[in-house]
Amino acid sequence: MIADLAEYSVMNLRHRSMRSWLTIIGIVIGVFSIVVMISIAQGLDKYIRDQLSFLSDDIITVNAGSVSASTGGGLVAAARDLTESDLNALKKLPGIETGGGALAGRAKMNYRNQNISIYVDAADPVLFTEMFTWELEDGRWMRENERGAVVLGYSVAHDVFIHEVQVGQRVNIGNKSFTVVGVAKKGTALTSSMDSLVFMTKEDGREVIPEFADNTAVTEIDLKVVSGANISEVQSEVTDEMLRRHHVTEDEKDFTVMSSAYVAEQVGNITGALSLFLGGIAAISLLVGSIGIANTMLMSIMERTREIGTMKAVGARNGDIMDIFLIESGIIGIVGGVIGLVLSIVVSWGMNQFGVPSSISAEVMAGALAFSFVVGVVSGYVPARNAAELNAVEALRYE
Amino acid sequence: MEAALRLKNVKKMYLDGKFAALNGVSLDVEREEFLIIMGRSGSGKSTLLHIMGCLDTPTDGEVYIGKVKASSLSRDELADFRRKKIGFVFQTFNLIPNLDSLRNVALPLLFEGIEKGEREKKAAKLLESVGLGTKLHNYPNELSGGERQRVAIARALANNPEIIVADEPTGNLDSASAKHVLEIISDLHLKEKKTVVVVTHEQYVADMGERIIYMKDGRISQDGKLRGK
Ligand SMILES: Nc1ncnc2c1ncn2[C@@H]1O[C@H](COP(=O)(O)OP(=O)(O)O)[C@@H](O)[C@H]1O
Ligand SMILES: [Mg+2]
Repeated sequence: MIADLAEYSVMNLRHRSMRSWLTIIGIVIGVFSIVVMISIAQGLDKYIRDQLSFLSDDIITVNAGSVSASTGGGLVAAARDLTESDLNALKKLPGIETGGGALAGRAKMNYRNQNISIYVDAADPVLFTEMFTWELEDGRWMRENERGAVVLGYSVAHDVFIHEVQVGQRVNIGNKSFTVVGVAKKGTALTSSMDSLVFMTKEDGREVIPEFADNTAVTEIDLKVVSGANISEVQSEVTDEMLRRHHVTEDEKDFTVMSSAYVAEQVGNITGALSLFLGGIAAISLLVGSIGIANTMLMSIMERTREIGTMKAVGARNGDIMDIFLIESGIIGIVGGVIGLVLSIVVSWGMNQFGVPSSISAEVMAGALAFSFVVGVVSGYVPARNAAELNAVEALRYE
Repeated sequence: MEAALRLKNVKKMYLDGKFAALNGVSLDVEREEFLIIMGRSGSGKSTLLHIMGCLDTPTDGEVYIGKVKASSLSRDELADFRRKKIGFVFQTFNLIPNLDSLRNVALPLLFEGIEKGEREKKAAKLLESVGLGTKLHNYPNELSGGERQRVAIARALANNPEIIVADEPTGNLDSASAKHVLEIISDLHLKEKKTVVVVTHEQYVADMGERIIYMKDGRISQDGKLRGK
């Protein structure tokens, strides 16, 4: 029955094809702008996440210093460094599988009589091998407790020195001689700062970075959460432990605990809000489109008043008439939705070609189609109900 | 014998009850009777016909179709009842312009829930019976007035109703077309044994009926059998 009524609706739309298409265009524009806007926000989200993918989602990071309201959001100068004993204590917490510390600072590097000041990232090798999956283009990472071994960032190996540095060659950093055991791959946009670093073990770092020579300070502690643990619970355990160890309250906190899950959540919040904002603006054009449908349906019903009277005379129920007009407006909606979607897929593809990140998920596609159908039906509802409730005799007398 | 149609003191008021289009009409129409309704324009003929065809409901009074009290049916029941029992023919044909003859005739069958193949077979047969077997796929604007009215008659017959009501069916036709249409209507009465009610202005149309009533100011002013039929 519905299929039969649909056939009737299609014939009516075809006989008013100019007006039908104009109405459909209104929906096309609405759906198109919503999908494109959301695809830009989602593309951005995907882009940022791809860039962040070197962060595994089971890592908790502790840094010295803290963001606090009292400094207007600025980082409080590290009143107190993190130490090796902080690291050892945190590693023993129940939710932690493993962890490592890192220290960083400037040092002089010499290769073939060329002297350059470089930035050293000295850390427990577990950080490189198990926790952050930074890839090497050649060689290997340092081993636990290995001394005199360095891994060079991509541009340190290739660009900084007149002569390229290769795995197996010897370099001088600080006053110490090192063997290059690996070269890192070129970083992505978000990780390109790593390209100009030199990596070594923490023990070597204390020898070559002057600030860390006579102490046990570390600038960062990274902890890997045991699999299956609730990362935010573990994160607060870490915070509690640090508060206890540093004898400070929440307000006096001199360290910051972060997790990649938290970062990802923040990114999601921002791009989600962006989606909503852009989609909301675009929704206005869909609203205009839906007013177009309502208007077209009202006009069409007025023109077909006698027709409606006739259908009642030959035994149509009010519900049949309602269905006919709802199907009609639903078809306008869904045809507009399909065309709008196809158009936005093409445009999204084109934007990607020009480097604008844009991505249309299956959910957005399905949502756009369902939404456009709903818009059609909803905007056709009042006109259809008016049509169904027309008095048959008056409709037949209508000139 | 039980009447095909019975009206008891039917009133139809307009303008908040200030105007009576029908002002107390009582009438029995026998089964297989051919009733003619005449009267001046504005005398209430169409209003009466609409109420007899269950398209309109009286403000007051009762309407029976056979044993069924139409005036107490719900809106949807009335639509179903009308679809099965009544066939309407109008002066202005009232075909659906966007549908070809076949689909116009099949429309009541569609609302009856009959499946497409059977619907179109039946519609084609009906169109053949009114001499339009070659115009199944013409749209209304591709047909002459007489042809349109024959499509409308075929449509009125789609669900094989017991009662045919026609409101000035030849009013918009030339005399040759009118004659053809009248023959078909007359056959419905004589051969198909339908109860037929026709509203008309024209005496030669009225002459075909068995009984004639005259309407005046919303009342029946005369009621008589013709030629002793
Ligand atoms: N909706 C309405 N409102 C007010 N008056 C109406 C309405 N419908 C019909 N009438 C009046 O009722 C009277 C009977 O109308 P109708 O049955 O169409 O007459 P006929 O068919 O005999 O020419 C007319 O005077 C007409 O103006
Ligand atoms: Mg009339």
